[in-house]
Amino acid sequence: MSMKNRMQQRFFTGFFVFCMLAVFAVHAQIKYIDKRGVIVFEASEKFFEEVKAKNKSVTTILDVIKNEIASLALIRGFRFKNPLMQEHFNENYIESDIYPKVIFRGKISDFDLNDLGSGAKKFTIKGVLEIREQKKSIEPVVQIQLINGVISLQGSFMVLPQDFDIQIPKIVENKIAKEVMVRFDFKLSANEDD
Amino acid sequence: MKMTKRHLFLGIFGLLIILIGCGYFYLNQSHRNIQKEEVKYTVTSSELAESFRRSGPKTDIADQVIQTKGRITALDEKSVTLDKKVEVLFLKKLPAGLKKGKEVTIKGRCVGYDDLLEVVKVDQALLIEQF
Repeated sequence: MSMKNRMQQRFFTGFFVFCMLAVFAVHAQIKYIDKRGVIVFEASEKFFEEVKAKNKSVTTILDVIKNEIASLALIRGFRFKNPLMQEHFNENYIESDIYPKVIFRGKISDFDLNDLGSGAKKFTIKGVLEIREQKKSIEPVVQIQLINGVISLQGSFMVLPQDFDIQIPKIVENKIAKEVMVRFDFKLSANEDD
Repeated sequence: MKMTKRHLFLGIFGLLIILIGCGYFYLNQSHRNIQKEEVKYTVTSSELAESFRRSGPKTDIADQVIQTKGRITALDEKSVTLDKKVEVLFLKKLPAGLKKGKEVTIKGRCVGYDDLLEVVKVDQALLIEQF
């Protein structure tokens, strides 16, 4: 190989590496990620045992340019106080062997990262919640604030079991609320990618 | 005659106690203790990721106690990522001495596959060995 060719090759390799780095740098800035988000859902009825579960390792990715957000929770990651209730939830209600996850994809209306401050602002997320391959449009209102580079996102919404084709047996009908309250709390940061 | 009646009564009473006991224990089971459960599958981090890619959600590995080995590619205060394919969440704090590049063997419960991060998640993990 001639000297010139070798120089050219080196230049192109260098240029390629530079481009890759540039892409990654931009990539890291536009995507905010949370790997330990919290989702709590509750369908308790007065005078009966609480029907409540918490998942502390929910994944959320927010694209702050397109304002698109995606959240994923594994069903097996929901923990109930009562292990028997947890077993029934997994095996009879959600059937987590067949449908192992819950996913939400949406867009935050009128959101601009540059307008965010430490004071909480309200936004609406329009999106689709998918459980057991059943899709349901929801529009939760969220409180968003930026604290030390971390985007905090909190909100709640209600869903019905029948929206996702979940049958509640007659025997426990009175013990489970008709509407399920879902609360979420995500802390997204830009530098999780390394 | 009187004797048999008393026996019958005692028998029914005993049975009732046993039934109530069974019911009580059934309703008040404790959560699984992954640390005490036996390992069902021993796989490398790549095999684990591959099993979800091949069979989708219907893999036999989900919710089972597994043991896996891999090199740490990322870590935070509670978890390590092995070979960029498996995210391991420890039951308590991160064990001492773990850092990037180290090879470890862990035992834990396989939770499932996270499509967003493209990793298999393992929780309630325990460090078995570090090299």
